[in-house]
Amino acid sequence: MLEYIIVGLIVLSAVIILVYKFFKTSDNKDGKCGCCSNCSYSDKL
Amino acid sequence: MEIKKITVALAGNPNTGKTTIFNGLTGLRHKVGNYPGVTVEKKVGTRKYKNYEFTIYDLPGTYSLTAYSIDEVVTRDFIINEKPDVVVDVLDSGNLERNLYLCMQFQELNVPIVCALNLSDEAEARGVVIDEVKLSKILRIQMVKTVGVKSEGLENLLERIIDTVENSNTQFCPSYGGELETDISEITKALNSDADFVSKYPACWFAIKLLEKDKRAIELIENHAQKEIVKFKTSEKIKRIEKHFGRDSEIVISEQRYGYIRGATAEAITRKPVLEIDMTEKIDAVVLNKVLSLPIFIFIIWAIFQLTFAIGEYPMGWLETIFGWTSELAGSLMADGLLKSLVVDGIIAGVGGVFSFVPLIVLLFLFISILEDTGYMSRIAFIMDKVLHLFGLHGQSFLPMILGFGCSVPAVMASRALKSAKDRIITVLITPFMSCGAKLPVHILLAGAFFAHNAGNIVISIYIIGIMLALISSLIFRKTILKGDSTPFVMELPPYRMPTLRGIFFHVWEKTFQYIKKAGTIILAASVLIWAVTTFPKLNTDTISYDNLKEEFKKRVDINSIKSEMEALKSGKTVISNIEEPEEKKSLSELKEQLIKGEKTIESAVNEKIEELTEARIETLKQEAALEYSIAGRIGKIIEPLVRPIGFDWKIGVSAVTGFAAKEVVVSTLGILYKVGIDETEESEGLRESLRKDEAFNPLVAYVLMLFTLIIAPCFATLAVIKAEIGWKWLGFSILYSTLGAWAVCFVVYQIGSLFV
Repeated sequence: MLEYIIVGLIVLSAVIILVYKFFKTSDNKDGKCGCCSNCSYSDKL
Repeated sequence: MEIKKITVALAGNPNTGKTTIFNGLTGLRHKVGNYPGVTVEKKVGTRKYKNYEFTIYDLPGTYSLTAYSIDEVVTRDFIINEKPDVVVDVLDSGNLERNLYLCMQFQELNVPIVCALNLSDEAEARGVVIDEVKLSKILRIQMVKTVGVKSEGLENLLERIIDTVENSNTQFCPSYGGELETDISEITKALNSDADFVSKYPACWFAIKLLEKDKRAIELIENHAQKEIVKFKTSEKIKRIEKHFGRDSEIVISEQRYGYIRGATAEAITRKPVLEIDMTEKIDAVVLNKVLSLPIFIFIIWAIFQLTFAIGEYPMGWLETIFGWTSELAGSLMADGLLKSLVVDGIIAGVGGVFSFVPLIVLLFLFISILEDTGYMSRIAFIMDKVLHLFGLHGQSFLPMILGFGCSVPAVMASRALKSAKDRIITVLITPFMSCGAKLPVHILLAGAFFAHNAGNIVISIYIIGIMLALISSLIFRKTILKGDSTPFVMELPPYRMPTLRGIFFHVWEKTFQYIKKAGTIILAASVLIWAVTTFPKLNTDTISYDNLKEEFKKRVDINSIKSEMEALKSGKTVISNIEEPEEKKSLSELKEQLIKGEKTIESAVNEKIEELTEARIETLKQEAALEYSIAGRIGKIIEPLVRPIGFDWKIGVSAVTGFAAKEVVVSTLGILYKVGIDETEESEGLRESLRKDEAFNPLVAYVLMLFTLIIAPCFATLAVIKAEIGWKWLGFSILYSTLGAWAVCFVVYQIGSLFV
């Protein structure tokens, strides 16, 4: 049961990361693609 | 002591070294390129110097402040609305006359200016000697010589900025000759009747813009309290100017500006004769030669890919081995169960697959950075310019296309530099066809697995198909939905520059770091999610009876061939020392000994082998049944009829679709899906081996999957930017066009290819 809870939490975190990245990118105003906060003009790979 | 804050706007023509100066002043490491149009958005950084804190904005490069293109509007609106304390106009000392044209427009805007005479070392080497003190006096602007790449003159620049801010009280509008002056001052007078209006827009500048028939100025004048009087005056003056000079008023103003600049530069610049043809001209004589330019370009690109693969193959193999070991270690340390499956089959298989490509990414972008920094990338644009026009594309569209090889997101944004809306839409629509860096791991994986001896050429062919599709699409759009001719464009060719080690290191580091960071975030999350959808709901395979299948499989086994294998082993015909796998070597040696000693008969050894093969087959069937029962399996089965005609089974179909999250995720998904049904020794050989052994894959299917990944709708980050740049309608069109296009191209390639394979 504990294993299911841990795996469930990890999968949930993954979903949150992906949804967050999607909305961060959709809200793109500063020239960044949302993949990282480091790039100068979203020159990600 | 109180810290005083100063806002600085860094502006100038494209490719004058603004970003280098920005990086030098702020200590940041923004991307610098030896080609125009690198900066498409304003960027901000800070610098503390003495008792001042500078907030520095790096604006996109522009040639003028008209409202033709988005980057010009970004610069103009920033200066008008944000009102920086000072504008630093970065000038290319070697092309001062053209660069001062923008400077004059800043002066018309009545903003305090300091000019950085950048690239002054290059200008001096070419015999251009600038008396900056004299030029300062004539133009009434402080001038500082700088060499951005060596950070020379930057402190002096900061001193001049402070001096200009502290002592600026000049309200100076450059003089464009007696006749025009009267016209400008009469419109200025009419504009001054609305104090609120002129507090927002400097009257002298606005009067000139009206005479230039600037669209934005004509719109804004509707907000003026005395708009009818201003409009009447403007119309009257334009008629007079055009009658008097016999030319359009916009051209007259432009000529007057150049006249003013020529007068100033004639006083302050001397040109020493340079006998020797400079290096740039020598190199250009070869690389821009009408006959040689294209073969040289193709050779360079070909050489880059060959070198990348030849050198990168080794470290990539090491990384694959390391991930194989990590997988085995995690497998041996963790107890069987869901968590172990998540770590081994989900995270390590998914992220490890993507990580293995880091060496190739480093190498490829090392070569591309060298091309960019030397200035050859601009020559490529020049070489391609004529070709682009044949396909109805604007020459300037080449920059977004080149950037598209790195990432479609900045590439789509770089289309802002295009002045015509139609040119811009076409460029945005075709840019995703350029094979971006994220698609590269997919191509490398499949090319490496199925075309080991021709991997470089196969990947180049994908890049070429991408370019061809972009050009053909452009032609189709130009002839149908976006009719019209492409506008002419003058390509600027910067001089060749020796790339700096520091510059190249930062480019490569930036790209590699972003790749690794992406693998650790989006790709990790996507791998976990893909593992979950390929694992749940769980199927209890123990309750399924495979007895009938077992019997069926045993009947189909080629007993004679196994028997011959055993006999060959017993008689010593099979040379065991040639076998590479240590486990296999050991078990065969043992079996050979047992056969020779008579501990086992040929018949019993054959029966054991049949039993072993049947068990392995049943195990694979069980795992496949569990996968088909999962969410991914169900989705895959739904889309299978759609992807069957292009040669994909449901697993390949699911992998191809997951590229929507990020294109590298296709590799992660393949990594997760194809760990099914292979034993531990095979696992360490990596994903390439697993794919090669899968029945659904063959070289044709692999190539079609590369094509599909290339053409299908880009990742969600790019889609978000396309929506932001050209709106929902065109985003919808882009998704539809690329998805249907991907299917159609793959269908044709697969069906024709099947006739030969």
